[in-house]
Amino acid sequence: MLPIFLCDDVEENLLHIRNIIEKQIFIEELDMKVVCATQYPEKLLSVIKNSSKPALYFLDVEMKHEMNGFCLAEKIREIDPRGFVVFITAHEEMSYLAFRYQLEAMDYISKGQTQEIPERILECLKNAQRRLVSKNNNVHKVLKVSAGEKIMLLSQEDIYCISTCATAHKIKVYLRDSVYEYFNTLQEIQQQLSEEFCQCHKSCIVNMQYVASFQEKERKLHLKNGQVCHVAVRKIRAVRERIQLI
Amino acid sequence: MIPRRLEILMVVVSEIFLCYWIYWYSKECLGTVGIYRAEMQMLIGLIAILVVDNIFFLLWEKEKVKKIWSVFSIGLLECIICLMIYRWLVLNNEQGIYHREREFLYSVVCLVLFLIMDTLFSFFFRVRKKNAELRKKEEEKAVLEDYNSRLEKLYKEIRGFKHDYINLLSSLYLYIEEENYSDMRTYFLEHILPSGQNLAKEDQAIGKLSNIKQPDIKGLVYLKLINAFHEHLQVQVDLKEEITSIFMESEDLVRVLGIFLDNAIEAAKETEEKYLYLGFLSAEDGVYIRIENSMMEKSVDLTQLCKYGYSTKGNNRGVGLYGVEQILAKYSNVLQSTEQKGKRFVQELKIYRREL
Repeated sequence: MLPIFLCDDVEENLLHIRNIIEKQIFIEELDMKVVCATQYPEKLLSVIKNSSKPALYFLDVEMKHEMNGFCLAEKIREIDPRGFVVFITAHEEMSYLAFRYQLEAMDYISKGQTQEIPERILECLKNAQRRLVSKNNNVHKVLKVSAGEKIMLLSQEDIYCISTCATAHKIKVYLRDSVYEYFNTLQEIQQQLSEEFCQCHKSCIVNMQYVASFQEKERKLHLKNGQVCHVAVRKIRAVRERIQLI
Repeated sequence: MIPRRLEILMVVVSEIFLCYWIYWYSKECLGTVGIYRAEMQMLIGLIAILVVDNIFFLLWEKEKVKKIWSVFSIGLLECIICLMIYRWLVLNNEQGIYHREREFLYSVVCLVLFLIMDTLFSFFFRVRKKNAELRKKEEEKAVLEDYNSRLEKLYKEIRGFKHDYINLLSSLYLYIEEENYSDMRTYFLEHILPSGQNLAKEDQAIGKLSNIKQPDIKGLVYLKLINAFHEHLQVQVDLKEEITSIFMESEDLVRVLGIFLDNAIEAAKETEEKYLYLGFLSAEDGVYIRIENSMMEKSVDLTQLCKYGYSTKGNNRGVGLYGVEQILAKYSNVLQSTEQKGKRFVQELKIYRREL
């Protein structure tokens, strides 16, 4: 069971979000439970200190406490580094805050579009469950990449494909609908990658999970995000075998 | 100051003397080498001129060393051509006999040829450089004129606003006369307050640009923001710290930002939300720039985005982001990321302090 924690300083919002979450859990029969919904960040911290399980957190960003949502998230990460944090905020704030705090791999829900909230919450719940399940199977793996002096952790399941850049020592990581560049080489990251990945060309490593089709004649792999990767002649056999396995 | 031409003449004369001296001196030294002695002499003389030429070029132009090499290699090419002509002259008689007495005459002919070629080449280079400078100046002038016209437009707008404002306030006077305070309240809240807020918002956004210390980047961002305001976008500028140095050639950054902002404005104006966010962040390890805009639901194929000719706007477009890719390929300290989250499209650049 995945514990869920909520924190919002406005009581109505707190209740509203809680209702939506519980409704979605009920409808989708998810193995989750709202453990704590509080208006006070300190209380949330004291509650999670006693739990060892990774949890899902829904946090309001702008709170009338000393601690805003981002500071709270940082503290939560210290206690529960594997947990999933989702921010609830106004859209305008989000781009500003995400940029200022340089957050990675976190989701957010916009307060503005009321009709979209349940849908977005469900998406977050499912996402968290999917990752939690794969974590238990020990499939969940991260990829360490470097951006400047920082080391970033990417979840390998989200990666569609990794390719080289025109510039040496730079790689491009393609997710479903984003592309990031990092200072690495394919050789460096290859050992870290799980078995899901297959190098189909000297400039490209593909996550076989996301292969949509393989056109052997044209030596092209089509991925589910519409991307097309070239396959080297001597990799054709390996790719074909991998596809038959799926 | 000595006039430039006289200076060049002096250099040429001194070069000739030097060459002459080296030529005869090397004759003594190479006396026993054999049949290629004369050519060797020529070569040494020519290279001497070349070296002196380059030293003067360095002193005058103070150009980068890279350029010196290109000049030097052209000089070497000239040397080889001269040598070939020299050989052709020497051996071009019916008997194929080597005429010792004509050696001096031929070498003088070749030397003069070399100098003529050199002058022609350098003249050609100078003309080309001047043309490039002229073109750049013209471009700058065009940008400045554009900027000026925008400023004029803005000024006119502000004047218009002032006029409107006086009208608004005078209509307020009617309510005061009638002592109709409840209507006055609604009128004030609905008409006067929002108009002031709008102007203040634009002013604020533009005011923040003073934190960018590079004039060309500030100019570009200013231009694009004015554009965005004309399209009635909800612009949010996040620029808290001073941006003093950006670790990229500023003309490159101007081009990249220009393309990003043009794309963002064009996409945002099609949407209902009309949202544009521009953030500059000065972090410890460099400068981060983020441009975010609202977009239509129709998703953009990110993997195709930077390919030449890809565009969401029909044919004959889509050169912009391809250009960005080409520019950023030069930099090993810049990371680009592109995100598409729901109805938001994000471009982010991280320009790191040093090459990593």
